[in-house]
Amino acid sequence: MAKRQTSSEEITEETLAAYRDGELDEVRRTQVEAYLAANPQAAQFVDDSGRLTSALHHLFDRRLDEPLPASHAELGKELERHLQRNKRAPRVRRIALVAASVALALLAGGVGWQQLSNDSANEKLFAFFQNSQSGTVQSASELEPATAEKATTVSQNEAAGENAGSQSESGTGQNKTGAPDFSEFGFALIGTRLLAQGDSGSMQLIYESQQGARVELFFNSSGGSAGRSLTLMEKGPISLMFWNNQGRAYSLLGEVDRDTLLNMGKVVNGEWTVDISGNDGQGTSEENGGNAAGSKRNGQQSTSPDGASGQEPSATDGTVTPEEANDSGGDSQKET
Amino acid sequence: MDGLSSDLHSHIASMRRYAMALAGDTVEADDLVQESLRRAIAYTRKGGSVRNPRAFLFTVLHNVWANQVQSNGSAGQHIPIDDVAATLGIDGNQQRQVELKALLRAMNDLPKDHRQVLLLVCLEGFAYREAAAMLGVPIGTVMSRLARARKNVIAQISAEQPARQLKRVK
Repeated sequence: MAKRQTSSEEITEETLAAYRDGELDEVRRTQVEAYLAANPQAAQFVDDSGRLTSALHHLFDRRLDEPLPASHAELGKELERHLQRNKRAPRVRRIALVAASVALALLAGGVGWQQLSNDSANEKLFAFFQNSQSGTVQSASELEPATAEKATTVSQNEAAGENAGSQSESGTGQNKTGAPDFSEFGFALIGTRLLAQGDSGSMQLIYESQQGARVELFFNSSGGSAGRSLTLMEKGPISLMFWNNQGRAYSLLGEVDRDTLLNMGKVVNGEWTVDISGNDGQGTSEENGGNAAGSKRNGQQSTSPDGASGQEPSATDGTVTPEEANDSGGDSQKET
Repeated sequence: MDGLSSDLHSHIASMRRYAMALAGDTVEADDLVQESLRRAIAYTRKGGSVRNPRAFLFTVLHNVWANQVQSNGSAGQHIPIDDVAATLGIDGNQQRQVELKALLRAMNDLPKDHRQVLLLVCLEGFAYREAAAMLGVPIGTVMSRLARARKNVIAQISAEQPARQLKRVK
């Protein structure tokens, strides 16, 4: 089936599938329905897709009615106990500990931002991980007041609602604040804050998936070194990446696998070069969005931290398994 | 009953359905679910937070499956259709049995990445965004894989049965 052009946007098989799956907004649905009325072949594809779904259920649904094997039931009971225990007394998230350590490093005089990518700073981060994994949370309780004292929340959860409720066919584009858009990875922006640091500023952006996984981006407009560098690490279920770009320093960490984090870094490097130098820490999301748009209009070029492939960071090492399946403590680190 | 809450019982039953559809073998499917539950327990035992247990369990299952495929390149590649059909208890008239076996063959011929997306969305009813998060790929990738998977399965079934395309069942 060839791609067809309507008065507005192209309708592809992907669009038809998204229509069948209820993933389109009302405007787009109306466009597709008009298209289907005039294109029997496309209508047949949608109809066949529905029949395929019915046939799959017919084939496999009887598994739902089977009694669970005893081994599955026993494991299920143990899992349920842990889920309920964690629900009653949620522990401090490891990503919160790491994010707090990054924020503290930004604010503390002894550990500059650009030092985050060197070994000694990494050890500091890892120490927080180790404390977390051993159940010691005193590091977090020491960190959180320190960061909260100097941090100013400037926007909260506005873009999150919009991102969660809409379906982007292209998976691209910026969100309302002009911050990097991670919706194509299933993450919506839930909050931003500016962290005061002398004459310049650092920004923290927090994203969350529907499953509750977090990704946090830190950006400093003047803390980066003149050179180019990229550091990529994994610690348990969390991936971290630090890079410099034209004197700016970035840190991205999240409860995602390394490949996903790298792709997110490409989004950041490719479309967001906001300059918050001189900000007094009381900025607004509108300022951020304006800067971001302006930098794109000006055609500001990002330099590849790995110096190899244009504007985007890259890595050539193997696939990393995501968090839950790889919770055996295997860590890795790559520096370029 | 098995002493589980209805929600968790339902989640594990869904995992067993998905694993069967993915692996095409009851023993392998049950092993897949068992290993996934073990890893989920290991994660939660350490205090890992889980906001959406169903999505969490399917993410773990996906990762276990991906590891198995990586370590054993043949995993899921040689599914004995007749055995699977017998296991699934394909019933109905002969024509329907032929159609459903054709569907199994078409599913078996799909690249594993396409099969995963097709099953997560069409069988398990996950939204594109959820499937993307589970698989660690952009939503656009989910959309393209899904469209191609559907197209290939429909085309293969139609090619096997030119006179009777995929029919509505039940």
